[in-house]
Amino acid sequence: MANRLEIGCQLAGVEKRITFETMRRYSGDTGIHAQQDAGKEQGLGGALVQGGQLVAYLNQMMTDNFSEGYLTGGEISVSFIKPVRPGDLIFGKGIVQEIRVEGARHRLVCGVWLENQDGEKTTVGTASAVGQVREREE
Amino acid sequence: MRTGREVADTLRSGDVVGEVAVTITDAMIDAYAAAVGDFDPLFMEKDSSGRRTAHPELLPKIAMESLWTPTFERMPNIRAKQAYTYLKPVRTGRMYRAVGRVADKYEKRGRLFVVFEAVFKDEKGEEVLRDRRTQLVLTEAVTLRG
Repeated sequence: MANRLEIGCQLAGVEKRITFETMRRYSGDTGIHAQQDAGKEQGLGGALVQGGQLVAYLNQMMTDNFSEGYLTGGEISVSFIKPVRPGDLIFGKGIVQEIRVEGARHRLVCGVWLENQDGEKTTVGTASAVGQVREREE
Repeated sequence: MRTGREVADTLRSGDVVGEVAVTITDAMIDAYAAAVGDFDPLFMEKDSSGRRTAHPELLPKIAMESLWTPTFERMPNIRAKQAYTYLKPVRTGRMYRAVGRVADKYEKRGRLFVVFEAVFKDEKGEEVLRDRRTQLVLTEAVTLRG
């Protein structure tokens, strides 16, 4: 049976294992997003995942749930509040907070975040999509 | 050599810091999909026009080297905030242009932040994506733990 999203519903999430390999595939082989020493030299405590890569994970969650409704009028706004490091296991999560009528279409506004294996939030903010919701099977 | 703060001090709202023109290709989408582990058919399959749709963050990521890297190399920083508006899907075979500008600069709790903006337009001159990123300038006052 198909399930439609309503206020308070949790989004289908994503899970990502962070390794130096995954970081370098996104950010290249050198610098603070690829090398421990580079991160330490800059006072960052070691290498950390690039912000764009973290946004990519939340984008994946949004397209998983809303398909083209996220690509045509979607928005995301997040703050990076805790570094994500090699070895972390990251969970993308979201919850529908508001449904707005915008002319002929609806905008679903979601609280979204990434949290690590210890349940600590690393990235927080909101994301929204418009139009049809991708139906999920129970 | 200038410090990050000294470089940031030279930046003014409205300053143009980079420009880009890029055509999206199948190879870019494939590389990005592998990099972030997102192989959704939405991006991996061609539509009826024979074109593929790019992941939403792919275009600003590809554009970063032209728009922001020249400034960021002189001004060590990390991203503190990111906002995107995705107005139209980005497609293979299409060219997109953007100009990167300084939008704002401020200090908060002893930390210096610089905000950059870019609006990406397609071949018709229509907006497809807005990028607004807030960078924390790395100075002696900044250390991260955890």
